[in-house]
Amino acid sequence: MSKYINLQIIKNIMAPEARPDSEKRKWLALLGSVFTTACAPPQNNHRIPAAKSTEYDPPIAEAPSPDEMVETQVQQQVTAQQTASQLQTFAALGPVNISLQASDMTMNTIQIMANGNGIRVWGFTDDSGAAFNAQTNRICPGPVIELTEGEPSSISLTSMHPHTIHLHGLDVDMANDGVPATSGFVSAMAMPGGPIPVPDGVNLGNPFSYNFIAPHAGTYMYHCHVDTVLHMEMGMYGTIVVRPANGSRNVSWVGSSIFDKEYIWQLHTFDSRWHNGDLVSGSNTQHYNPDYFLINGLDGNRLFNDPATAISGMPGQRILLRLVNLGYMPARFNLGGLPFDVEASDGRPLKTVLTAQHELLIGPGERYDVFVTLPPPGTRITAVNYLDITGRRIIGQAICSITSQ
Amino acid sequence: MDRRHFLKTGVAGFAGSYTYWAVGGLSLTHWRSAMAAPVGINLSAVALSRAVSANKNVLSWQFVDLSQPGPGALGAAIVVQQGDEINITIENMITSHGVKLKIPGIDNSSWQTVPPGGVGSFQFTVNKAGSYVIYDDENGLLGRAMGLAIPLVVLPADGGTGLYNAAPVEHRFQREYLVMLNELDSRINDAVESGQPVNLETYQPDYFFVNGLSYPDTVYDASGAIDDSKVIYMQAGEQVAIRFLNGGLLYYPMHFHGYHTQVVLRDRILENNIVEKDTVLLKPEETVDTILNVGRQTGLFPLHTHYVPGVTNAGRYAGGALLMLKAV
Repeated sequence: MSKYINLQIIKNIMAPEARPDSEKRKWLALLGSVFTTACAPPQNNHRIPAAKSTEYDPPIAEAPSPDEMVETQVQQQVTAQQTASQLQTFAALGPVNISLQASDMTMNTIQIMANGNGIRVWGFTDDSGAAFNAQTNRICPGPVIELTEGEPSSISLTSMHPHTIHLHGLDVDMANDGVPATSGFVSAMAMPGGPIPVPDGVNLGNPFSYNFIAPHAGTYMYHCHVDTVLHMEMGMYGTIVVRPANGSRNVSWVGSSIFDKEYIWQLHTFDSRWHNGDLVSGSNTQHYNPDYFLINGLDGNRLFNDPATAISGMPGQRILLRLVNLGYMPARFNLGGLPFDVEASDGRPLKTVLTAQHELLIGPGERYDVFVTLPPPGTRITAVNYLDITGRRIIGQAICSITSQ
Repeated sequence: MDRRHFLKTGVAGFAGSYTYWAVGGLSLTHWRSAMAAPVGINLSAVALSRAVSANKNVLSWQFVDLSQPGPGALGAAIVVQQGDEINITIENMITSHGVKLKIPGIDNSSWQTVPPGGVGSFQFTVNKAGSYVIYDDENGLLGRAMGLAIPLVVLPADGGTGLYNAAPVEHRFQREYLVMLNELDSRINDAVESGQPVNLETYQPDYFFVNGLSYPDTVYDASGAIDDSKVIYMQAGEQVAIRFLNGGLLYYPMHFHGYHTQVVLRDRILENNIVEKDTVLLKPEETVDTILNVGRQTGLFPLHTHYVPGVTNAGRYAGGALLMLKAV
């Protein structure tokens, strides 16, 4: 059975910069309240007995947080998260058949960051306006797209302005590759002089369906490839999960470890100076100095309250964590000292599983499937340490938690 | 897309008997049939003005073979055979700085600095097949920031078309390409030119290169048409070797559209685990030799760094470290 997915970008009536201050404040306040609303409870959890457990060290109390104040906040929020959602699974994140859009709404939405500042972001949503985690509380990442290995698939993009879907890692043919110069772009308003310059290449019309056969089961990503340096940084990205052909939902591919729960961590950073209203790359994008360090579109302490991100489960449960670097910076990832196994990268199994790892380097565009067995009860603080592009220094952290109940 | 030709350096192609190297018009300084033991290579370290855009030139340093320039805008590229004794003689024509070679994987403990205006030699034997980066080690990171890096490719001793000696069929190839990556931060080049202090702690490049060229010059000819001598040209059923060399100071996560590739050698060591990739990460100094198995999928597919600011020319997309696969 083929899957039909429609991507859209939403249109906003008025850019925040153009609104009167009172209107802008109301807008920001509304978004702020939305963003702090608890995520919906899981709707489709599946409990699969752990098939294997491994030796583990007892939980450790150490936290790599840079200062005690932050650490205290972290611990409080971990507790709150534990009671709010203990069995969040990725399987509940979204329906198989979704439709994505790209319109001016997602081109002008303000996302409130942990420090209270509003950052304008762009993104993809489904037809209902929902982005990652089927929630409306964030514009980016876009919805998770689930496909089945070997099945004919179709993703439809509805877009007011020039955008594309590049199916990163799916090795699709040139016509469906989402690169404007070689594959064309999607736009309802492609005339010169529009708010977003028309890229090189052919206007494919609006909407446009990307058709392909889903490849090897595993973890992939998608992003806009129009003026990529700006569009992707602004938030026009998401994750694709290809399920095994036999329909299994407790293995990453036939032959992988069995897992009880799965999570996706989508790594990304924002340079807030890039979000100031420029609609095209140029001198404004000449240097990249990110100041917000994200997982799944959130930064700071909000990560501990996000059941789609903060990992929790019962001792002995096997967790699959799909690490997807959708940002521009390499990152070093750890689970607070908890050993993990690396079984796949870029949608392909490793020749030999890398067992009992404590740190993993993940470059921009790479994906890794990581498996971890939850230890006896306790919480560890995890870290994604973002490096500068020379790899010589850590420029920011996204700290979260892994909790064994 | 802006198809102005940012780099005005000459481009020349080369075709060998069983394979050819063509990315950025790669030509070889030493072809297999011309090699003799010991292999003598004469290079000059030069300071030159380099056009990085239609209206901007920067001071750049390069290793060049004045008798036989390298591919694309590279001053030199060296290809030898496993077991060869190599003697690289360098005349340092940079008046302000000394130079000294470093080749990760080769012992350089006895090598001496060549002072400005001086001539020095560097002798070594290559015992391991694969790709190497040769760069200046005298000036810390500044040498590579200014462009002092060139490729060294060591062909296997058995004379075969494998990436290493007695390679199995899956690690042999019908075509072979070289992709050397580096970049420059024009503020650094300007500071060196004007004799101002240089701060590499704030190194943030704005121009990015494949074999010394930036997109669109990595793909198109002067008329704006796709230049088959520049793209990675490949045919269905072939195994194509693509050798990545990081001659710069940045991480380069090189992403393939349309295909995964097999990571065979990383720093000339056989990769045992993370093999099939659509994004190949290279750290500074690192080399990765890959084999791409060409399927029936035809067309043009980009290959670019996923540090997407590196796919710009001074911030403007598309540019920089972007090249193209052409599958027929």
